[in-house]
Amino acid sequence: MPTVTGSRLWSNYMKTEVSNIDGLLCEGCNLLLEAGKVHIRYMKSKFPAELLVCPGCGLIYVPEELAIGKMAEVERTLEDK
Amino acid sequence: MDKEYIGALEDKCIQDCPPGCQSLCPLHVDVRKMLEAIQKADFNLARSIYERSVAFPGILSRICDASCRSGCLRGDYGGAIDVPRLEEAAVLFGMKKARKFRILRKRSERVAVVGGGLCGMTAALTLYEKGYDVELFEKSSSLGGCVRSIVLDILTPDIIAEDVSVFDSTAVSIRLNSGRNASELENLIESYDAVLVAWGSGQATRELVADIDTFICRHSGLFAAGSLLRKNYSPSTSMSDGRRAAVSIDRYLQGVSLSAGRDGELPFESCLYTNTETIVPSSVTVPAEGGSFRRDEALTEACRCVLCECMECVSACKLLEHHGSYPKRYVRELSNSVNQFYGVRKTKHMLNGCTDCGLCAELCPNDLSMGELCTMGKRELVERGIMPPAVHDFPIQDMIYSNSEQCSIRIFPEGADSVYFPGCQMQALMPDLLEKSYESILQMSSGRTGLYLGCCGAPADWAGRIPLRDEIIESFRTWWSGCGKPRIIYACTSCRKILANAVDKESLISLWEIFDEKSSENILPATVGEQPRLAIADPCTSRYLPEVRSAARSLFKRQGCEIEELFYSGELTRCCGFGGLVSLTEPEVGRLMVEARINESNEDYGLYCVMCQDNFASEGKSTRHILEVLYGASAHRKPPGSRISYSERQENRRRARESVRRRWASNHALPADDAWENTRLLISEEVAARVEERMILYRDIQRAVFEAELSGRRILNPETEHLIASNKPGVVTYWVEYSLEGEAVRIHNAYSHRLEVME
Repeated sequence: MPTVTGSRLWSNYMKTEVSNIDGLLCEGCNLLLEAGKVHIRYMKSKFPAELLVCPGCGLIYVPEELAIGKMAEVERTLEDK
Repeated sequence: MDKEYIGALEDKCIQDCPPGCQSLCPLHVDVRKMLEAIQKADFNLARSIYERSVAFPGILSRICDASCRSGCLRGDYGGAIDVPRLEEAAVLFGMKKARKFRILRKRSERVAVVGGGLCGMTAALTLYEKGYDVELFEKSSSLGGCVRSIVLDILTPDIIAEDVSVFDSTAVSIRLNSGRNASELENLIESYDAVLVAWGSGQATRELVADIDTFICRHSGLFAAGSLLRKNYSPSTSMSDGRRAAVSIDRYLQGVSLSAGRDGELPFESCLYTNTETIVPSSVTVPAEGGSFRRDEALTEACRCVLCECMECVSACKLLEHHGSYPKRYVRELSNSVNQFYGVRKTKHMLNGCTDCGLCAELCPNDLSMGELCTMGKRELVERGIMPPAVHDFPIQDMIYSNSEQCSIRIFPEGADSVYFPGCQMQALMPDLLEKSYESILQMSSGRTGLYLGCCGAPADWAGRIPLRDEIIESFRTWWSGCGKPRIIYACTSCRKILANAVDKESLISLWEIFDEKSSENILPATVGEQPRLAIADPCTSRYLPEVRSAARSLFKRQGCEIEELFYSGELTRCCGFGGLVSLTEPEVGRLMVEARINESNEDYGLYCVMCQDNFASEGKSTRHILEVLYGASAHRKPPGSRISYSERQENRRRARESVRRRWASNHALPADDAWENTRLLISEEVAARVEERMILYRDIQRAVFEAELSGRRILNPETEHLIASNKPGVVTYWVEYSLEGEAVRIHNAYSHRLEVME
């Protein structure tokens, strides 16, 4: 299912830091979040990405700048396709 | 989308039809475009537009017989535009450019044109351009024909010579002093593949009897055109005949039909509609000196041209205006992209920007409804899964909540014969007045009226989610049937439109009609103090409900309001931007719609639609809802320029439901609250404004925090000591930054995204 458009969009936008906050802690596992591979899915696109993830339970963190900035742009682009 | 249906829709839009001046001109000169250029003092452009249709501009501009005159709308407003003098001005003041001939394909056939008047010359040039080997025979010693006998001060030999010199840049061979008689003609027929005789009037012979449409004579390869076939001399018709005869000869030599597909060559009545209401009469400009216009006079006269066009719907609808074109093109674009599934970006914005208010069809001379098309297109995109669900998710979730047991209640006392259906927006925006109006109805009906709090399903309809809409309608219909099909008293005309799909129309009556009918019974409150003068803005869904519009006006008057009518009112009323969920899904267009509507008059607006009121008041317009005129302002009213937040609306609905239950249906059970709904939030004004702008509800925040606390799946930011929770109840993922303050939760921030993130 991965589509070229989705991946390309993502890599164009998302080569930046996964987060600028250090030391985020998953409270459930008491483990620090680490950069990890995740998947992003929307409409008919699915593509891999790197975000902060809890190595224990897999809890994923999406920072605000990402959500309201580049993620919103990718959403609009995919919706307008 | 069915091809035939789309074709029929396209045909309905007449914006592309040439205006009367152009359609009646034998040469179909684009007079409107030429005059538009002169209006901008661009005589060069004007001349080049003229020359596109006229091969001999110097000659024709001096002697044009102005067939356009009778098609000019100015005729009834000070006199038809003096187009011939403007043609002359275009030629006089516009720069002459050497004419370039583009011969696409050289042909081997030879054609003789006999007669060097306007008809013959035009035919010769046209045939030359089509690639033929052309010889032009003229019996006299110079070209021009009968125009040479026209008075010298209008048409000097120099002008004729200049125009005729166009042949110098062609390979047309000109034979002067020949082509005089019938015997020569026979020789020509022998030696050429086709012969066109273009003699002047009175020179017809038996051989030259020709078909008036194709100009072909009985003798194979012989054609006749021009004044010899016509009773009256018309220079423009002669040139048109020449061109058309050349087309016939070309078709003859190529062996194709002479007559097929030639509609529109002859002058025809224009089907273009132009609104004349705003035309201010002005008299025709008279040249100060001699017979020609000076530049300034030409400008003045050209400015009298109203540049006929229809644009009736576009000038009234902000969506149609916003996308920069007109329905004929929109229909094609929409059907292409919906049918072919690509390039739907612009299409989605167009479809989601339509309120389906019906004004376009009302204004269109041919009843073309863009609303119908947009609704159909939207439903098709939703059905095929091309419409992103997130676009309509917010209003759909809101609707589902309105119909949940937290907000919805159905009361039907024994012996009742009516049910009041105030609508979910009244419940959200003025719940206190909802209760007061129900009290009045109960008094008027001696307690025999039930109450239905809930949503009619309009948001699902507008979102193109038809099965969901039908589910809601069906649920209402079942309940209503079970109550013995009581009369439904609706307050919102949009609800009425939806409910009319489910129940007999006779069962539906508006609250305003009931109030107006019973106004003498002293149940409604009397007028208190002086009432303002109000301009009545009818909701778009009242377009075909004259009885509702008149009852509303009657009520305003009863309360002592002096009322004024807006330009867009009654059947021509226009939408506030809420219809079709436009304000939510295409906020830019929605805002344009609100602005246009509130700027129609400086007076305060008198309204009987809660959504109109919400949209106008939040943009700063001073408004009075009819219920406020009756009962005084709602306690939930915000000052003009601010709006009730989405969370407050939901809270209002929930509270109204509870208040109604306590007052009139205490036997109904309390709704089972979800545990998370009791999460107490502490939110600063700044954060509240931010989450409102991001369309995040307090309920979304409560649920995210509650579930994070319950499951322990939360993140700690050691720098700020804030906790971070997320939750994805539907298509949207919500993130909340919070900290715990005793029993309550302090909200520091919230944001959301629609991309789904997974391991």
